[in-house]
Amino acid sequence: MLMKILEKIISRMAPGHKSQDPHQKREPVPICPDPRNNEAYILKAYGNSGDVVVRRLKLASGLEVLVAHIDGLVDHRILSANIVARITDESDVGLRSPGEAHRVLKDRLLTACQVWETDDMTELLRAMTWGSCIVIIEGRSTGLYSNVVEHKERAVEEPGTEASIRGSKEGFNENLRTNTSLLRRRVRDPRLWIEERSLGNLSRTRVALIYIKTLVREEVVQEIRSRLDGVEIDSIQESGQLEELIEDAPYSPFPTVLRSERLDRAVGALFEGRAVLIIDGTPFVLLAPITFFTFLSAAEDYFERWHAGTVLRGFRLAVFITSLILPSLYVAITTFHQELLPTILLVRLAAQREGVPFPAAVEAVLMEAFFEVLREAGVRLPRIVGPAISIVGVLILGETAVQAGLVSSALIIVVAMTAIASFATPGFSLAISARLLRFPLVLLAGTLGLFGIYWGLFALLIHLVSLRSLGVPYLEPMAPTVLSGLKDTLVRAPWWKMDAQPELIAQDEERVPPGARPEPPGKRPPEGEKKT
Amino acid sequence: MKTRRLICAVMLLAMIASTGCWDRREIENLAFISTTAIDRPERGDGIRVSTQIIKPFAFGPEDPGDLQERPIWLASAEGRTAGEASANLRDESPRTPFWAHNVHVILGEEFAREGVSDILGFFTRDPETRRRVHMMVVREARGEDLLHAEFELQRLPALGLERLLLAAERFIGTTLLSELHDFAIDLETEGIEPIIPALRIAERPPEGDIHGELQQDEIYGSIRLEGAAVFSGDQLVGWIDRGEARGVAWTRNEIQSTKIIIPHPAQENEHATLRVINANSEVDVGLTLGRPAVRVEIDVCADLVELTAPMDPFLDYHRWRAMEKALESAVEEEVRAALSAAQREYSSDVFGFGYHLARLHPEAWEDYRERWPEEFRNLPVHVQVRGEIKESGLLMRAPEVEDGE
Amino acid sequence: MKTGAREQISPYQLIALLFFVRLAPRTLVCPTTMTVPRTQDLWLADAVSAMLAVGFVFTLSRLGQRHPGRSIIQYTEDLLGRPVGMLIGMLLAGYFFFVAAYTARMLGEAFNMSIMPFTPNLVFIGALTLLAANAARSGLEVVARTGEFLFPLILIVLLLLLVLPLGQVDSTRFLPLLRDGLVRVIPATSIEFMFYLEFMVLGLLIPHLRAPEKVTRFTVLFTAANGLMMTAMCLIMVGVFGPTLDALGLQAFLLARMIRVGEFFERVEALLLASWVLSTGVKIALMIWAFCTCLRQTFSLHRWRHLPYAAAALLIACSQLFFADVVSMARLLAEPWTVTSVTFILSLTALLWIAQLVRGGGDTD
Repeated sequence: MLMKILEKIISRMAPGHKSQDPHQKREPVPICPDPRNNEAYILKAYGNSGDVVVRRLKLASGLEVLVAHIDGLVDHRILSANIVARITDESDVGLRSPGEAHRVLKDRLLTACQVWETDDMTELLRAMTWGSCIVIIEGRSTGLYSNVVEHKERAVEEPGTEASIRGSKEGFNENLRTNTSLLRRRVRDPRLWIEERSLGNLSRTRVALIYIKTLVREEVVQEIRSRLDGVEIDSIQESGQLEELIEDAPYSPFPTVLRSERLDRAVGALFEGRAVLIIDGTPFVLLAPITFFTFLSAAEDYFERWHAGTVLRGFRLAVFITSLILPSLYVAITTFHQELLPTILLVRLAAQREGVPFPAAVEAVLMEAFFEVLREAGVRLPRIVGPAISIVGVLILGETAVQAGLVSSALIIVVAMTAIASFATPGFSLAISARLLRFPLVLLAGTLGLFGIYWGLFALLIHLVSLRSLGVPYLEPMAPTVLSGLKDTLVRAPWWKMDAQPELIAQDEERVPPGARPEPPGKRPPEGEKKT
Repeated sequence: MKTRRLICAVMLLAMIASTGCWDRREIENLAFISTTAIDRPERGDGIRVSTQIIKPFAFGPEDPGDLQERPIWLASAEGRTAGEASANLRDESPRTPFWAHNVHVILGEEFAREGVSDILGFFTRDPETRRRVHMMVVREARGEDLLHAEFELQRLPALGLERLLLAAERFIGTTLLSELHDFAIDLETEGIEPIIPALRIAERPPEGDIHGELQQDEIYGSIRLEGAAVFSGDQLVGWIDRGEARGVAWTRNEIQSTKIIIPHPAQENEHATLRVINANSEVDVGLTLGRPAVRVEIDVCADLVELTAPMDPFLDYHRWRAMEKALESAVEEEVRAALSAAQREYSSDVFGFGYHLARLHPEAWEDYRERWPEEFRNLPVHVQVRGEIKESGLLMRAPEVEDGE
Repeated sequence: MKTGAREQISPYQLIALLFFVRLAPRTLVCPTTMTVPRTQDLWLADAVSAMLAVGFVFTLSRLGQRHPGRSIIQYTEDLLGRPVGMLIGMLLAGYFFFVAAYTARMLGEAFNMSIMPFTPNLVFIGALTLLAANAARSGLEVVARTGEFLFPLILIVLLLLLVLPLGQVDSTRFLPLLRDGLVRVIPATSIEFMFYLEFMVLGLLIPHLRAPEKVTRFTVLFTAANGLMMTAMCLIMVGVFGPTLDALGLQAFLLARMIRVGEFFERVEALLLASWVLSTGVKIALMIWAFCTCLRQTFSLHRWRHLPYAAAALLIACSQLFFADVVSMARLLAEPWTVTSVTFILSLTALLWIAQLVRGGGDTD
């Protein structure tokens, strides 16, 4: 069984695998023995694009060898030293027949790392787009291609969207190969398996599915594979697109796949038995399966001492709930349940509401919407104009609106607290869900008061409870309760306590052996006794 | 399937939109009642409800300490029931009267003497009112008049009154606080009568020019706590003064802390002040020869806080012990005074001796239930106080004063 | 609902569901107090009924264990024949439906009585029942997980409600005990016990349990703990409200209003309201599920995806039609319903037990 899977995976990992793609079935285009025809075919296929370079080199024997590549994708030094120079310098060998030339070129002369052979012209054309150089020898109906790609990429930098104080500063970049190499450098073990494939009929985007074989559950990998198989789209530009195509609950406002740009996040996920999906062209990788509580954890929870992690987890949950319900609570209490506030606070609120022309619910929706606009403007604007927006938005509009009596200053405080709370939620995509769900909750609070809020939260809970991320219940380990999982949910237990992987996510593997708790030497039993 | 989803969504939206927010009331349309006074109308029957309503705009954001604006507005209305009177308040109040923040119910003396049970229904049945409002009676005045009184130190009279009551409960114990909740329980329990704080309107001093006075046209006077009001059933029967009230409080185990004066242990006409830091009492009703006999045990623990004449407890330790005896007799005296007022004057069992009898000897209670007031008048009560003085403050002995002669 | 693989719940989830059946809704309108002349004796009703309930739950769990993988309707058919089984199935469906109806109505009345007097209770009932039907349609696992998630939260609210008013408890209010004799407590005890009969849902839940061997221990222990907690809550209410307790409509709500800790921590009713909505929601969802399961097993239905919604619609209507007002609901539950349901459920359980002894007397477990 294992061998079978192994074989399958190895065959998938081979680059020739893309022709196995069931959606790409087509008739192979034969390769013409005549180099002139081939040249014409290639140029025609690319519509005489300016970056397509086709050369016909002559061997000493007079045989013509067609060499083609796309300018800009290949490394010129490798190309000229390992391919062009080798072909033109073959005189010492003296190749005569096309067959011999083909064999020798393939096995000896072409000194680029990998050389593949095919009899399909389309495959050759596609290989060129990957940065391969193709070599076709006159009189042969098979061609060779070799990877001489040159990586043009951004340096590995600190991720901009997920800052962290402690831990690795490395973030992913847009290059798939760099990203996989980053992971390899963190997991130096052959059990880190990488399955690659291309998705998108037109864009042919490379996608890598990465996991640690002994930790991940086989069902999870199988499920991801079958979902990737089901993807039918012309192009994939970003992981978000793929996320929408493979996630469990496409209608849900809650993300069931986590995206991250942090290397340590992805590595951590691998070690917890999750799978990582890297998409070429974007620094955002996808992690799955995840649970709701994954969004409340940040990378440095695991690096700072566990007390801090534990306290911060609690804060984050509180902060998430705040960002979800604070405006609706304000509306419910000021318009329905005035008896729930202390008298003086209530009087102050009433004083501020004095003369405000809108009902509290409308006021809250307006201000929340205004804030969303402000934030959107802040994100889209060029950096230089950013401060201007904050001045106009915060100082002028906020301040003046209160002074003009259009909104109450209490509401401004509420909106501001909500905003800060939503920024403090570490999982950005979860913060977005909270942003969206805030509005219906305000409406419910405005119509049914506290009952409306509780009803909305109950509806939300039922929804969350029925969600799954690749078969893992979304609220695990709270519902269903998994005792071992609680060690890393609302609290972050010390590392020496976290003896097992997340139970429903990973295969059962020991993470920390029992008795790993550090102890001062006096308390330790002597070495000899320990062994017994 | 899609159309069905759409229909569901539209129905839900329609539901939300059409639920015309029945219970919605914007905060600025409410009149927050902070204190209520209950009286009989000037003429005729029924109930007159007077309310002190907070003006929120006197607490505006621009100028929080705006002293120009009087923070309260007084409104009153009459009706056959308290509920009707409350509804009639709307005739003159543009904002809806809102009862949830009402903290005091002040009864006029005349009304209290006639019986207060008419209004309890209104204050306990309506969910907007709370059971934790303080009940009080005004001596020799209408409840309404008290609403005009204000405090120099607190802008909101209701808040000032609450502070006053809480301080009385916590630090001096010279009155017995009674929330509506307690009042209702005392009323419904057999063998115990309600007792609630009594207030008096302290007339405003003749010279009106006092610094820090509210720059408002008139302050009618301020409020003083003055002992407690004794009820029999739901009717006010009389007053007891501060000392007697504390006597009741000792017995009912409601003293948290208080200050008590005892004679100086060594010298005539000099005094010592003690601060009670802990007091506990237990009431035991026994039957001797078939007749109930009450035994009250009070444990008092106090600190010495003041001596008006020198004394050195280090040398005269027996004087220290003597002070403890003096403390015991001072407490017992207060209890005795309260007992004689309750038994002789009002024959109202505010101590709850009947309740304890019913609790401990239910069969005997059956015999006495009907004639408990008479029985109570002659009930033998044995008071035993155990006093203890723990600390002597920062001084170990009082300083000698050199004779100036 | 899923019809394929049998849905499974863990023992912990079972306990959580039972918590929402009995303990959590206790804070709503409670008709028991009206029947006891002296409030001091009230907690006896809780204690005695809990003991009876332990016996009932023990019998039910044992029956379930004897028939692994079979629900109460299915083993009734096995033991007493198909026609009786069908009859019992229909009666049980009706029972669960009625339980859901009065639970929903209690919630609506509680909200009307406490904080939102103007909103028709149909709105509360309708909104919550639709949501509950949605949960029930997603299957038992979803209902169980919802309950499991809320269980600790609501438990904390109830514990707060137990602990925070301790300062207001007057310990002299518990005597005299049983002044009028034990007989006067019987009506209250039977009403309390009537509510325990809602644990009948165990008959449908046990076949879904992941570890059925241990079910008896869990359910019996839980029922005892449940009774203990309700007795404690009752004692605290007596201590706080004394002789006025029997007059109060929403005791738990008023108890929450009495809470004041350190002059600032007060007005905690909001928490209790949350517990009302959430726990009633779970209970109605469970009852709708039970109702649909009864019908499905009785009539061997295959397509029943939309049955919960139909049940919800019927439930909303019936919650209005069955009870004219809160007083008549309390009276209906206190007398006719207590007699009927206690007779029905107890005789059914006894019948099954006897049939079990007669039929399968030989096998021991």
